[in-house]
Amino acid sequence: MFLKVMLNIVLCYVVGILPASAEISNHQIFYRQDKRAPLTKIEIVFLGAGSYREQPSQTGLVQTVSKLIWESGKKHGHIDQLAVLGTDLYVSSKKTSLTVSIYTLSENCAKSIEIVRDVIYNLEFSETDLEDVKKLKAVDYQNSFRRRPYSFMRNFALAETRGIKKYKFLKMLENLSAKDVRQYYARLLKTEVVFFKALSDRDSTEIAQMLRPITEERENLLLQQAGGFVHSLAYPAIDHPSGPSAFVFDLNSKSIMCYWLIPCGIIDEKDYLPSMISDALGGYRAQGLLYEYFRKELGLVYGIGSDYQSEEYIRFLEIYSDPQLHNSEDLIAKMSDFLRGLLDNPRVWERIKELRESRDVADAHVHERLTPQRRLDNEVYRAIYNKPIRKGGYKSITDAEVRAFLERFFVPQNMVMIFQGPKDHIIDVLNTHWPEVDVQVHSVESLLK
Amino acid sequence: MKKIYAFIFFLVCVLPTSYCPAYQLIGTEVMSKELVAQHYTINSNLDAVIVVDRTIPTFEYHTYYSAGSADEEEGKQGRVHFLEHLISGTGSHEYGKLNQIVIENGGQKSAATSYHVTRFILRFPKDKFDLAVEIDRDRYYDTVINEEVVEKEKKIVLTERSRRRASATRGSLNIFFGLIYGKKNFDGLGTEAFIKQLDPVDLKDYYENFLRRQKRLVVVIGDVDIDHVLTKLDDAYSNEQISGESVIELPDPHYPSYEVLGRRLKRTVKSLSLTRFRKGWYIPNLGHRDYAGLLILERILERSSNSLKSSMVDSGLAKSFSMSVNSYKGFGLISCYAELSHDTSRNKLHTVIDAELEKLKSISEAELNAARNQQLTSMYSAFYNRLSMASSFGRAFASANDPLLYPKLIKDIESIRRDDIPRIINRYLRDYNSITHSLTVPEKKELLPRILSEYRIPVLALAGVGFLMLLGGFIVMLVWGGKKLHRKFS
Repeated sequence: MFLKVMLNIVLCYVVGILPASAEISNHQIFYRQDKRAPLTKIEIVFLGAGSYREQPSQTGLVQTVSKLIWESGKKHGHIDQLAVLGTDLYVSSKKTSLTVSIYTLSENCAKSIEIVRDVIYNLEFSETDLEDVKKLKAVDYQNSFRRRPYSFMRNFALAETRGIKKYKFLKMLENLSAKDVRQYYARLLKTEVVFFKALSDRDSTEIAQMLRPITEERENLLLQQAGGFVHSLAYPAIDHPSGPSAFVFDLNSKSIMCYWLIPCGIIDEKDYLPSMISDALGGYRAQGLLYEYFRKELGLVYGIGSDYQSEEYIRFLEIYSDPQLHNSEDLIAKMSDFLRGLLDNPRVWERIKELRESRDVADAHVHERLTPQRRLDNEVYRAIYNKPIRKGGYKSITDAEVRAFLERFFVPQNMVMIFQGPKDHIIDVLNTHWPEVDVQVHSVESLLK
Repeated sequence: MKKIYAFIFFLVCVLPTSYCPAYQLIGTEVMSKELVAQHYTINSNLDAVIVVDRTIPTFEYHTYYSAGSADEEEGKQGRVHFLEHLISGTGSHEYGKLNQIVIENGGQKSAATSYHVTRFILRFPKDKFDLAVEIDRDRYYDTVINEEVVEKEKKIVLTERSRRRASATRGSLNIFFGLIYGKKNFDGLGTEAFIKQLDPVDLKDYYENFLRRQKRLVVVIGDVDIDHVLTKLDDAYSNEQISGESVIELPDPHYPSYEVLGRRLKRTVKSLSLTRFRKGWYIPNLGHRDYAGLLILERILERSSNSLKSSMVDSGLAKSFSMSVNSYKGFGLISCYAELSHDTSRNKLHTVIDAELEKLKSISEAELNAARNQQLTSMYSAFYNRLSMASSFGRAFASANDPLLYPKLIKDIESIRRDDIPRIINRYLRDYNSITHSLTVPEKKELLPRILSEYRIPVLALAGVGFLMLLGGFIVMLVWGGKKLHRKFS
């Protein structure tokens, strides 16, 4: 502990990095008050029980259990009891955790939590129930595929180039057994750290009181048994880039969806740099370099933007644009030049400078991150990933750091491109303007198989 | 006498400097412990709603014109949307400059055109309120509409159109609202040919004589001082001058003719992967107490179990199903939308809808409370989101001319009783009061005659027997012929 404190002090004074909150303790409540509406939102987070810990042969297990908890609650009448109170129950999973959350009128929160306790601690299911849930999950998967095919294309491209596993989910789902689920659930209930995230118009004492049914149940259980999930941030290694890749999804249409992904490490690394680069390029707002150049100056697109995201444990910058077919060659050629030449583009450095300075001026975009919900989300995120807060924010980022980042990641061999449109046209354009790219052609439907 | 002179002197000195602001408070609505909405008139053409919310040090400044794409003439749709691009993108500045000003001042901007409202959104840190009013005023009086900006924006609008046209859901929506508004080729973005021929003179004329003459609402939500907001709006707009005469009165809301009401229409499109089914029932507008009852009904129809949605999806009739209640200019719609396999019988869908509505006529108190509580949760959650709150004020203003109808709806929802539900179903959710439209693929021509496909197994069995007899006969002939040849040559 002493060493940890000393290390934090050294980090703070030497390199300007402040530690995020310390380890999360069991039954810790992260709380923010928001009196604008008579509502309460509570998340019960089972830390360490997320999809990171799945064996490759069990991909989809945590998502299936999430669905099973909800369906079992429905079957035993708990969802109807919650519905009478106007309470929505959600069970979701992330890489690090499984979360059970409720969103309700504050006056009905205490009653709702008692019902949720019954949902969590009285899970009963048969083989048939599991088979039904697997079918529902497969339908959900197919529906989300139909609605948002791009996220499947992206996962596929990242899986092919960086080795993530998520796209195999549907195939693995068939093999999940009741034994897998029971083993997982037994460990889930004994999870070492469960914490709460609460946003409410009620005060914190009242919230802590409301959560007693859950904490008491857990204390009884943990006294008897051990062996639950434990949170850890050890990630598998990711594959190194082997060259620029393009994934072309054939579609007969008059406009083309174009995406450039720039993978930039794994999510436990500091993220202020990619965040700043994404802001400089424009985010998904109608401003920034991409919007100014490709839409206002060249008139090649309607929608354009950049975003900083992560999938599984890989983080990446994503650049999106939607040229018409007849503009697409121009767009693809100019975007490729733009990205390859980012390091020497004076506009980039000008925008980076503006961003550093504008952080001293009040900025609506920055303030949007200060809502009680966003503050709560950020606090929890930093605690989970033990992420440092950069002292001085963007202002402290030097040109040398930006340059090193761009030199490392904005190189052709690190780029993954995804296009949806007429394949022959796109292949012609790529062969003309970027012949070294490894092109793979697929149909969107093939991703389901 | 001295007193009289002194009084006259006082009047002479004071009167010219005394100032009576033109704005007036016309309504207040308490939304929650922290939020209160105040509705003012700034002038005869402009209202304002102000909600002080100091949670974060920024504010939303939205301007709503109460006209949108559905208010445009048939065949000339697209001009409001095009003007939205020009007003939001360029305003009174040279091309690209406005964006720079907004960024430099830590702000954001966007805009959107819907059926009856065109909105312009600004978001700034709290100390930039004067700048927001200045941008809004300059856009209103001096938006630049010249050859250069129109030609540049055409490329962008055509790209946007091309992208939107690719969506089958949007296509189905356009056809459906085309039926409601009685317009062929209904598309808020306009046709490609129409966009290409737009010229600055016509657009400027349309802006001056149509859009600028619509009633407007400014919604300010955030960390602001009400007196300062009112003073700045008063300075900017109290002497508003509109060329020509007064505010344009749009024609009455367009109700569909009886040729369309009650009918089940469909259109075929070759490349669809799923059939799109949409059914809407005419309901009263926001402000009528039944509107709140219909919102509750929508919740019940869409709940996760024992509902119209679960009947549709769990039985496999529909791949997805959703309900919505919306308010338009002078009328409302409760509608359902489903995505189906091409072979799903749409008559069966109607039967399920009718059965579920019949069932709801005997709804229990617990079911009603559940739906009411869920509706209230959903409405209150919008109080965390200034953008969504401001949009709700804007829609209420554009569709029913009273922005405060939006928060008042919460009280209406609390007042709905169990016996309102069967009454509402009987009154509004009737087939003769509805429009149904399906977008599907062309029917495949049957390869086999119908009788063959209906009695497939017996027919196949008969065919099999016939085939075996033929085969047998052929073999007998071969054997007979073989023997005969054998005799001949031996």
